Amino acid sequence: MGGRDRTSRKIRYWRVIVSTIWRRQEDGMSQERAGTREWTRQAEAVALQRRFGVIQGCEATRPYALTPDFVRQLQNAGFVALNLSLAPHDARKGLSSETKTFMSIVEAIDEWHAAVEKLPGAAILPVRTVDDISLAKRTGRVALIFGLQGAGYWLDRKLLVLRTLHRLGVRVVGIAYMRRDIFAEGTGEKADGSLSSLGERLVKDLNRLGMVIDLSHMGRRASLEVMELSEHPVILSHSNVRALCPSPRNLTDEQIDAVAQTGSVIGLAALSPLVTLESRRPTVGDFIAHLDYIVQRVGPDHVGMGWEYAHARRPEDLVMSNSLYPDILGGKLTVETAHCEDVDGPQDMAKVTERLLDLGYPEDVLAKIFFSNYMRVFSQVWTRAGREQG
Amino acid sequence: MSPTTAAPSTQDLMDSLAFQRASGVVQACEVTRAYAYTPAYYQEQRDAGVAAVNVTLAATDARKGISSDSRTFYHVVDSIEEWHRVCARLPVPGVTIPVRTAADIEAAHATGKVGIIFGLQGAGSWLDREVVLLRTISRLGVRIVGLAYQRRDIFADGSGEPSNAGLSVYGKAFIREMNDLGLVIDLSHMGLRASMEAMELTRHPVIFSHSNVHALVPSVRNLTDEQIDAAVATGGVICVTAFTSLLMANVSKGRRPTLDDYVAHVDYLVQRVGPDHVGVGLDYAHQRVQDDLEVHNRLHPELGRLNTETIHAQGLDGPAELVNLTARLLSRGYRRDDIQNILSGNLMRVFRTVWG
Repeated sequence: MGGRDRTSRKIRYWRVIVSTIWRRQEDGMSQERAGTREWTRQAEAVALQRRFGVIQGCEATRPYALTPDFVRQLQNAGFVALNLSLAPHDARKGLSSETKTFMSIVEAIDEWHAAVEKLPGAAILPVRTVDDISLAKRTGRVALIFGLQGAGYWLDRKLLVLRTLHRLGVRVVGIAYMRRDIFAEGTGEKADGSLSSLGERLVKDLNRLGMVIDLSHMGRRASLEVMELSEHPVILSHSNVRALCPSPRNLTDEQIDAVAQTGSVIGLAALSPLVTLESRRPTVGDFIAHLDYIVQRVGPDHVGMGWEYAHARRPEDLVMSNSLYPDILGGKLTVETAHCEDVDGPQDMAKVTERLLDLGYPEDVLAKIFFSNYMRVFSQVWTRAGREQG
Repeated sequence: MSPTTAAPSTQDLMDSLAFQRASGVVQACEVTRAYAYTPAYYQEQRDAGVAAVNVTLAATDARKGISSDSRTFYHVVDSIEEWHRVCARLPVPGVTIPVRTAADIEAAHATGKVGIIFGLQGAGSWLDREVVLLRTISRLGVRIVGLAYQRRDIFADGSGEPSNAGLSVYGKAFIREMNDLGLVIDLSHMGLRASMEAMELTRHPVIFSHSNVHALVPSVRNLTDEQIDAAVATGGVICVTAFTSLLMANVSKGRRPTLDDYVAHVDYLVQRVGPDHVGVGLDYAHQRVQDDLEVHNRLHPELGRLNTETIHAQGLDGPAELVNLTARLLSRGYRRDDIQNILSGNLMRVFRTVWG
């Protein structure tokens, strides 16, 4: 058993190396016209990404798009872990905590397992512990973190299925999603109310179960309350800076300071309406401005990637966001412009890295932004292994 | 072997108990609800040498309807979480929950724990046509699954359906899925034809977790010789139950069957197919409540009117009384190896084969 596993790992390893060289050559050829200097810069960026590993704090790719080609793109760019958003579509359909939406999550988990099993060479590793991410990094695989947004849409008042979902591998949980639910206010609620009493219980349960709390999409006041209440650091898996782009989804300076005080991490989003409110497609420069703002304000220990990128996104995947949340996201998302230019797929990570190098970010800071900041939070929170629950 | 029905001496019982504890017992059908799994009852199981027990998840709720909607799946999830919650509060050494492999049971026995096997009866009441939920409960640790429960569902006819229509298209597909997933198929409560078709189709041994012999007691729930032989052909195990209406033809008189009646079924099976295909599946519930039985009485009148006082055989009413069975088998001259296999070894063979 062990021998065969080792062999297949070895094969996988070589496959990654070979495909990388291949890819580099392809990249090299297409870049030749742009000049060798460009290529060297990009190669340097990619080399850093691969050395440190990159954790994507918010991935919106659906199981149908988990193709061998996409996985290769991720591996080539040095991505070692993705925090998925399970079944957001169905879960967002209503404001109930009915079992129906719980079912859609159970189905999504199963769908992801099926997609992972279909891929050749065990390239993807579902995550239960931080060790799984380290293992993925060591063996050139990509770890999948099961994350959920909008607990209010699928969690019952008994908070019962939270435990079940932990057993099924869910490790990151967002509470309110855009609107008010039984736990809290979403970012789109003008009342900007407090966490509910049930919401307080949920925070304690999440702490006790060792699940990472994700405060993106939660209202300002409730998010500050959670950071005050939580025993553990949290993440805001995909949120930007309100001072630069005054979307209700973005974070005030007060929230950013609370993130720093609690040792938490903000994942920077590449979703266009969170980067600029101007009627143009934002660029990688706009994206970097958000990241740099936070680093200038609270240092480099509290930022990471949180693009909310979806590979092979279909127009129908955006219908829900456009129709339900026009007040928050503008109602005009299209597949072509949903993301910043040059922050639109794994291969664009190199462009982000190049910008950071241009700004003079040292290597140890890049390591934090790519990998260690998230790992610090995950290792602190995921204390219940749950590996026996296979 | 008739003169041995005299009551065993205290010394005989103590020796039998020591042997039983060394052998370990795998109780193939336990319907105790999570709330009734008290520290005292847990201790009773440990004292009896129970190494593992197949607990039926959410039996009562799942039996309330024949829908396959998510509502009843939710009850299963609820029941799983209740078992985890209750078991977390037991005194050391506690339990192994859920049992996932045969090795888990061996380890539980070696360390004086009780292994909790998650089992389902009547999964057809809530499983959907897609295989998603079956895979999900397998991830959550369920290891034994029965499909139809007395009535017809999308998979099969239960043993209470007069039309005896066998397996449906989905039923056949799910037998194969259960094989692929490594779930033990439990055919108790399935109709005669459905069970025969399932045994024809399965690649793995099956169990009847709580069924008796039709030739002795002609209940729809009991097994014909044809079914018994087919179960043996799969390498499976028939677990004899202490449930009154499967041990006595007429239960409405308020009479209770005895240990003699139970042993008659064991004897019949052993004489027909040898000792390697018989197990113990009491269908016992600690702190049974009459309300649960009233639901059962209303839905399944073909099994007779049940009440908490007389639902189990006299002398086999719970794990503490298992020693009566062990003592009786010893005094009837059963070989010790064979008794050990009946108490646990035969089921362990099936679990090793199916679960890995």
